[in-house]
Amino acid sequence: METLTPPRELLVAEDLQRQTAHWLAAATTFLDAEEFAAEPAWRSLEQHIGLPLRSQLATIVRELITFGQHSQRLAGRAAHDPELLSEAQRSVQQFRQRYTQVELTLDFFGDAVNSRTSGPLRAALRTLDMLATASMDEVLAAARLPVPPALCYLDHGTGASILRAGIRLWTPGMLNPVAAIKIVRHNLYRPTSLFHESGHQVSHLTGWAPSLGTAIQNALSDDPRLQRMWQPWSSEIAADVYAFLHTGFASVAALYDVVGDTRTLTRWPIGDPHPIGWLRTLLGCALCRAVFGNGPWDRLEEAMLANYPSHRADLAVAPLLTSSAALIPRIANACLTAPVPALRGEPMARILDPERVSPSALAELERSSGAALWRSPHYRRTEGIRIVALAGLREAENPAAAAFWIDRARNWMTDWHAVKDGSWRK
Amino acid sequence: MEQGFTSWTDNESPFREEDYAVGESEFSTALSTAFYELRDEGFDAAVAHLVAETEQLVEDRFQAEGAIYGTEKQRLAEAHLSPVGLAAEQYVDALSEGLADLDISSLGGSGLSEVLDGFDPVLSGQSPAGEDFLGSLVKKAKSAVSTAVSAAKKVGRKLASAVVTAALRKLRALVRPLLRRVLAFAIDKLPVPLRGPARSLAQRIKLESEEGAVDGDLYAPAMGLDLLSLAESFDAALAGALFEVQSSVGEPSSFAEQETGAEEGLGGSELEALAAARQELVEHITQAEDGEDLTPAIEQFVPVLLSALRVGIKLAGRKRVVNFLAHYVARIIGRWVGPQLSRPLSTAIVDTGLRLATLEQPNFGRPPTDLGPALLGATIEDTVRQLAMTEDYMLEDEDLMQLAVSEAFDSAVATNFPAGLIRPGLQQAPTLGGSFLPMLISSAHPYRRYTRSPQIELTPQLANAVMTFGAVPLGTLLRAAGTALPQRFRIHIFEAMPGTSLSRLARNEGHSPWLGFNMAVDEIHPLTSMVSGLLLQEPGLGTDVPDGYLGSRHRIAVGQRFFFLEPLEGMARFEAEAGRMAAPTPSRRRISVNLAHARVMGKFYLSESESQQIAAAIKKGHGVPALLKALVAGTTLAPRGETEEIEEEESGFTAGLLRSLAPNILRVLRRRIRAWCATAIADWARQRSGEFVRAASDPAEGVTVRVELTAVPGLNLVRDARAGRLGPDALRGVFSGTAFRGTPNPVVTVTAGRIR
Repeated sequence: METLTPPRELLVAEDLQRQTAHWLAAATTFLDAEEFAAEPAWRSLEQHIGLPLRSQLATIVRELITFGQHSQRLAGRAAHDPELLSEAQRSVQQFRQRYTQVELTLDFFGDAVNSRTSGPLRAALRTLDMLATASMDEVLAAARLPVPPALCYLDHGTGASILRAGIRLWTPGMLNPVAAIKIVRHNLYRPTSLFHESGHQVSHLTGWAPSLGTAIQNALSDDPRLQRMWQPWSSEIAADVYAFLHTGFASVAALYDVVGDTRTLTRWPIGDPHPIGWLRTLLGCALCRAVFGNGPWDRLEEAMLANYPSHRADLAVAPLLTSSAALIPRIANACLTAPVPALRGEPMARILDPERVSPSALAELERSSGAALWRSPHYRRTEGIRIVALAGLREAENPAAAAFWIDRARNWMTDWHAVKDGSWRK
Repeated sequence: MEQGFTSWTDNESPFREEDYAVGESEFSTALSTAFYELRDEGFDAAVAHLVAETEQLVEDRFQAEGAIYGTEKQRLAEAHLSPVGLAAEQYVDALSEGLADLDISSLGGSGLSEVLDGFDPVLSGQSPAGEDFLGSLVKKAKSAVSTAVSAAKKVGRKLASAVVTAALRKLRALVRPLLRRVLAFAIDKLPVPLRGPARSLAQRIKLESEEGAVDGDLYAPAMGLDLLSLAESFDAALAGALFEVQSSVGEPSSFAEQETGAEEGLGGSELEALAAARQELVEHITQAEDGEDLTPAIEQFVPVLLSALRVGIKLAGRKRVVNFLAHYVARIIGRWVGPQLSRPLSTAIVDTGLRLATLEQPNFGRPPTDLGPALLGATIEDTVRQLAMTEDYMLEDEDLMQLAVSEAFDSAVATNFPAGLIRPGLQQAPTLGGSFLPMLISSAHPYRRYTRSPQIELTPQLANAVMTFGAVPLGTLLRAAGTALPQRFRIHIFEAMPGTSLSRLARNEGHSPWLGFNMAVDEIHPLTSMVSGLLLQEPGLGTDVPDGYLGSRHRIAVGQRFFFLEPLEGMARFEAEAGRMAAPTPSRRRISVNLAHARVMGKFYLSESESQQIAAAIKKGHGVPALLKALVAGTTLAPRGETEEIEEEESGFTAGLLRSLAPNILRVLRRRIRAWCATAIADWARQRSGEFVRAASDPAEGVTVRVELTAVPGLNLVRDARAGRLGPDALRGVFSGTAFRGTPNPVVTVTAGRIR
């Protein structure tokens, strides 16, 4: 005998069906990857990073649609059986949430793919992908760990960021297949921040950050206040050190350009994992001094101290800045010698020798390679990171020539297609 | 060809120099010279790139839905290629128009280059492969113009404009037919060769690619028309156009390949039909009862397979052979067919770890196929294929024919069945114990994958002994790509089936659960028996195919095997660079001999990586030893074989002469040539190594050092010896090597990039 459904429940069930139909129809459009980015861009990227991104994303879309169809059937049955109504409501709500999560995931990758719109931009981002992967390769190979593919994309803002490979994305069950690194426009052609971000990925995989934190704690063992201050920054410090090991002074100069904002340089926002900009810069200069001796970092430090003496900082922060500055050499040493668990206790500098990016070593590279350094695919492949270091060093040490070096770096990063094969030159 | 000549010296020519119409042999010489001037590996790679890009576009959209979407696939591919064709034609039109009013014969080399550069198109809005193709076409057009101008100057300056016009007209006319063949590849058709004058010219230039068959038709090409043949016939047609105006023995002036129909050039659907027939056969086997006779099913399958195999035509007309084959195979296969009888095979499959494998690409959306029937189907297909490769005389005698059938079947079983079911003496690789799984059997481009992927340690010595396509040592390729050795790799092994293309194989494997990362087509290498013996200590796992299938990845044979090395540590592998199909070009050495003009040309191309290392060493003051080592090493004896690095320039009546020389004469000649080249290089390196540094700093990839030796002692005597024109004393001198005493005139030049 058929159960007569009261009108109110019927209205609710019909509305659930209507809602589900809407979200299901919207979800079905996700099956076409071109809803988020142009097909050639997807294909080009997949070929480049070697991952079938669309197939993987299509899997989560199909799962979403299956979920939606289940919700739809449930809503349909609830129209005849009011006892199913609350279950149907929950299901539809979950479907809506899942839809948002999947859309977020697809938008993220679509934006990343879409930022490769023009030829020069595509070339630049591919160069960055290559550099990011190269910056992880040596260390992860030594640690016998796989190297995740890197996907760099352009976005607004002042600072870079990374969505690490292997972390859970917004969509349940989906792990991030790539190390997705956001690059900001002002650093596109001076991408030392890229190595800070890849440093996060490497640090996560090798267990370096906690070990570095312990080393810093030991270095500050006679000042518990400073210990408490510095310890939460260990992850960001590890990334800064990683960028330094790869690019030397260039990373320090670029960092100062980002943090050297009068309003924020000496501020200490609560919960911010980044060290105070003032201290970050001092630490970078100390790293340079520890490895290379005296150099242009001394002038940068002097300039910063002259412009922003510690006593002008917030009253609560100023003493900590002063105390930290006195111990910076000790902290720098701790950073350079902290053992890396995945490297069997060896310091990171054992694999990434910072002497390779000293001003003298970079000058030797420049001299021995000549003009070929900026044109040859061989040097791009084998010395790409040091080329970034060299361009950044030259830009920083001679402000009058900064525009020339930025332009040179830009040409190097964007012209590799035409330069590589000179395809219509005989 | 050689009869009727009187004694010939450097100062005398059998041809009347004032004759406007060139004679046959000089025509062939000029034609082949023009052909080789036009050959450009970059263009071949660009065509391959365009094919791969279009293939992938179609694959992504239709995911092997089969022939029912044939029209839609074609439309999609046409839409993709249309802008490329339009841009190509517009460029050639602009170039023709621009050159029409110029007196190009008066322009010198750099002047002509400058003029031609002025017509370079702006390539925006094209796909990456489209850009690549157009860039290469521009280079081809410039090459054609330069060659036309040079060729015309030899017979009369006033002809230059006419020859250039003819060349550009022919180039324009060839674009659409070429793109139609690209489309055909992408939509699973077997494209037809460019027809008409192009093919007869190809015969004159003695292309290996005649009719897509190599070495007496015993081996079947995986694709009836391969990309290399397509590119070669394109160049042959273009070369022919350069001589239409001037040659009195040239081809008809109208180019018969003006294909006006949209379907022309696309070819047939043999591969799709074979895919469907394969599926049908496997389904029939799956549903067969115990002991059911499969003869009718096999008889239905065989003609479809034979029509997809170019060499199948041999078997197609031999009904007696096909009938015997079908009965023979059905009788033996029958013991594995049916719900009960198939159990031992299923057990063996599970025992050797061949679990229910997905034979299709994951996103094809088909359920996994039971392996047993698929292996039986593959065995039947392999038996027919191997029988189709049998010599005619074997098929004409009843007993020999039966022997051929049983040998073909044994070989097919050894390839496809689990090792535990095969007699020890038949096993191809007893220590590995694997077999080949058919992949993508419902697509037009299947292939086989070996079920074992052993680990190997590759040392520099081993890598140098392993030859890949183009007779390039694997070690050279890996060094050019920056791979450090020794290194541990996992080796993945594949076999070609009808329709296999290495680019599709690489794409499919790159998405497979076994690899999970990009496999570049240039990382796939031929697995010959020697290579298999070196790397795996199992020579039986390799296949030995004619040399014609070892020259390029775009020309492979059905049944040919390949390997891919997956690095086990870090990123020490070549990264497929953005938008490009090709690996960094490895270093190559080639020495060619022109007996007619007593000239030797050595071309030593050093890869970009090697060039930069040497240039850096030169700047530091110790580069000369490095330079000498890189160049002179190319003149030492090759590890194997006597003729692999010395070629004879194609030149009409002396073609093939070098190969016909007695081995001891050839050995002496080779040694002398190497000595002369090495001495010339050493002298040049000591005095002019700075030229190398300048060339290395050029944007072009790598550096070519050319050594030209003229007035080479003894070469004219070699030719005369072959023609029987030498007296005993002179002949003795040739045999003993004393005829080669003396020093030729060397000229060493260095150029940025690779000069063919």
